[in-house]
Amino acid sequence: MSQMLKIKDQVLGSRLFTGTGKFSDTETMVKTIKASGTALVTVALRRFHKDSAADDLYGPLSELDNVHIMPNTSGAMNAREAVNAAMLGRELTESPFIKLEIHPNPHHLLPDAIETYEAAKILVAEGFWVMPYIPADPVLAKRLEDIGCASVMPLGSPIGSGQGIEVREMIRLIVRDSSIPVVVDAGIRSPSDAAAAMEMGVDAVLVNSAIAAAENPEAMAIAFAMGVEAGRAAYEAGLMSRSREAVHTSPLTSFLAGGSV
Amino acid sequence: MSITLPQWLDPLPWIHYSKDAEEGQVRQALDAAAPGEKELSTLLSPAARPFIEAMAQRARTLTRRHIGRTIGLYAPLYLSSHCPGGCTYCGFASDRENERHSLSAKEAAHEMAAMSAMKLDEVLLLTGERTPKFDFHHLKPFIEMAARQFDLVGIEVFPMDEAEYRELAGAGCTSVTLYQETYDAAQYDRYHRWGPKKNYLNRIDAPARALSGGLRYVGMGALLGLSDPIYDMLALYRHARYLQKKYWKAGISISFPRIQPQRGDFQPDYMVDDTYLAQIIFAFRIVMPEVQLVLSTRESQAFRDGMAGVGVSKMSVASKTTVGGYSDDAGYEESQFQISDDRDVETFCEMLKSKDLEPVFKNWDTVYRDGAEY
Amino acid sequence: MQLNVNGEIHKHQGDGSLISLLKEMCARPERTAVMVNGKVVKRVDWDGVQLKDLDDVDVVMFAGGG
Ligand code: SF4
Repeated sequence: MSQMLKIKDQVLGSRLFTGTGKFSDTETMVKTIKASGTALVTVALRRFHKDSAADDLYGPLSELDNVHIMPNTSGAMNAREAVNAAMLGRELTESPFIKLEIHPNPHHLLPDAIETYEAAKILVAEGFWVMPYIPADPVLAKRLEDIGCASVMPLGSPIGSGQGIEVREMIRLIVRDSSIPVVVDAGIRSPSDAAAAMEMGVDAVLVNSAIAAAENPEAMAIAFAMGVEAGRAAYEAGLMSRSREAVHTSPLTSFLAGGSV
Repeated sequence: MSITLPQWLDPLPWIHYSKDAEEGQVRQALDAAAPGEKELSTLLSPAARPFIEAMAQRARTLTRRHIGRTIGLYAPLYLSSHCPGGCTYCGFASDRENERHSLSAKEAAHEMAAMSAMKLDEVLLLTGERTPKFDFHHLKPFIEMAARQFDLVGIEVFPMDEAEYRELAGAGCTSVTLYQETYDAAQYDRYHRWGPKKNYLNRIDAPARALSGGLRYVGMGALLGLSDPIYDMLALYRHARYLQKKYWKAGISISFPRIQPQRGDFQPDYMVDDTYLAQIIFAFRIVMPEVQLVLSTRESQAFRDGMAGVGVSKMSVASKTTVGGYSDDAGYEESQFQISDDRDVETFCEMLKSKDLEPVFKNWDTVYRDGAEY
Repeated sequence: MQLNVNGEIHKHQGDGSLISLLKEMCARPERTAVMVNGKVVKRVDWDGVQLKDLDDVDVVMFAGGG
C-alpha cells in the first residue's frame, strides 16, 4: 500500500485531484468524479443568475462522499480580488482548502507570481490552507512554503496546452527542496504524463481538461487514476537508472594507489 | 550519557544499503536521476571501490557543470591556541603541555597583511573552545579587522547562540565552519573528554543558529577516522540536506578532514586511506552536485592535485596552523594539526592552471552585506 | 430601492434585507456567498445586513472550474 498523502491535517485517499470545468453536463461530471476516486475537486465561483441556476454545482457536489471541495480564485486579476474570491469560496465550502490562482493574461493564463505571493500571505493569516498555482520556480516555491502555504502547485506547462511536463528540471528541484506537498497542475494531457510526474516524486496531480474533454470522460478518469497510482508506486519502488556509458577519456584516479576498473 | 539522534539526522535506516550493495546497485546509484541517502550509502560501500574511476568521471562532470573549472582559495588564520577542551585528537587540548598564545591586535594586523600580500581574499579565523582567555568579545574585533581587508571572513570557533551570530554577521562575518567531528553520539562522548565541546546537541544545532542569525554560508564536516565513516558521512549528508531545506538561502560547503598523527600520539580507530577518501568525496559530489567540497592542506600534494576539480572545488592554500604563522614577528610553535602541502600560493596556482583550472580568490563583492532573513 | 447586483441594475422591492434580496433573485441562501460593496459578508452576519440605495451586491455560486 502506498504512502498516504496529507495536506495540513487532512489525509487524502487519492493523489489525483480533479477539476469540475469543461464537462458537457453535470451528470457526466458527477459520474466522472466518482470514477476517478479523487478526494479533492476544484470548483470555480460564478455570479448567480436565476437563468443559470441549473449550472450551480453545489447540490451535485455535496452528494459526493469523501470528496473535499476546493474553490479556486480564477478570474482574480490581483491579490485583492483573489482574497475576496477565497473568502466567498470558504463561505460555500466551510473548508479551509483554497486553490489560489491569479492569472491576469486571459490568453496563456500563466500565474502572476507576485500577486500570488501577496495574496498567499493574507490568506494564510486568515487561516486558509493555501494551495497556490505557480510557475515552476523553485525559489518562489520555497518563499511560499516559508509563509505557510499548505502545498505548492507548479504548472507542468501552460494551462490547457496539454504538453506534458515541460519543466522537468524545475519540478525536480521543487520536489527535492520542498517540505510541503507538491502538486503538478496544468499541462497534463495523458495518464502517461500523470504517471511521469508522479514518478518524479510529486505528491499529487490536478487534472481537469484532459479528463473532461476526453471522448469518454468517465473512462478517462479511471485511466488517470491508474496512471497516477502506477507513477506513485514506481516512485516508491525506486526506478532503475538510465544506463550511462562512462566516457573514459583519461584516467582521473591513477594518482591513487588503490585499484580501479 | 546517551543521546537519541533526531529523526532528521539519524543515518541508521540507510546503513544497510552499503552492507548489501553489489555491482548492480553501484551502477544504479551512479546513474540515479535524483540520488539521495540510499545512493550515498551505496557509493560509500566496499562494492563501489572498484568503480572509483567511474565515480571520478561522474564527479568531474558534475563539478564542471555546477561549479565550473574553478577552485576557490582560502587560508586559515589561527587567532588563539587557548582551549579548555579535552579532545583526544587535537593538538590544542588542554592537557597538552605546550604554551598557549592569542594574537594581539598588532600581531593580527601583521598576519592579515601578510595574507593579503599573498592575494588571498578569503580568510578563516580559528580558535579553540570558548574560554575567558578568548571569548566572544575577543573574537569580534578580529572579525571587524578582517572584514576591512577580506571579502569573505569565515570563523571556525566555538558554537554560539543566535544573537551572537547575528552580531558577528553585522560585524562582517560571512560564514561559520563547524565540524561535528563525529555524528556517532557514543563515540563523540568518548573523544570529547571534557570542555564545552562535550555537548553534542549544542554543536549539532549551531549551524542552524548561525543561519538563523543571518550568516550566509556554513561549512560542515566530520573528522574522518573517529568513527565508522559510512555512519558519519550519511549523517553529515542528512544534516546538510536538512539545513538546505530549512534555510534554503544558505550556501553549504563540506570539508573532509582526516586525522593526521599528532603530538599526543593519537591514532585513529578507523583507517581512511587515500582511495577511500577519494571515494567519499566523489560520492558527495554525486549526491550534492551543487555544494562546495573542500580539501585542506592536511592532505598531500599528490592527493590534492589529483582531487582538484574532480569533486573538490575549494581548497586552502599556503596554510599555517600555528598562531602567528604568516608573519615573522610572532610565530608560536604549537599547532592544531600538521600540514602536508606547504606550497606557496603561486606554486599552487601554477599547478591549478596546468590542469586548466582557474584559481578564484574573490568570489563576490561585499557591497551588499545584509544577512539572510527567514 | 435601486441596487447594483452582480454588475446589473436591480430594482429591489423587498424590505432591504439580504435575505429578501436573495429570495427575490430565486437564489438558495445555503448555496450562495455574498459580497456587499466589495466586502465579503459572512453567512452568520447576514441577518444584520440592511442594504442601502445604490449598494453593490455580488452573489456567487459554485460553477465548474479547474
Ligand atoms: S578540538 Fe577544539 S575544543 Fe577540542 S581541544 Fe582542540 S581546539 Fe579545543
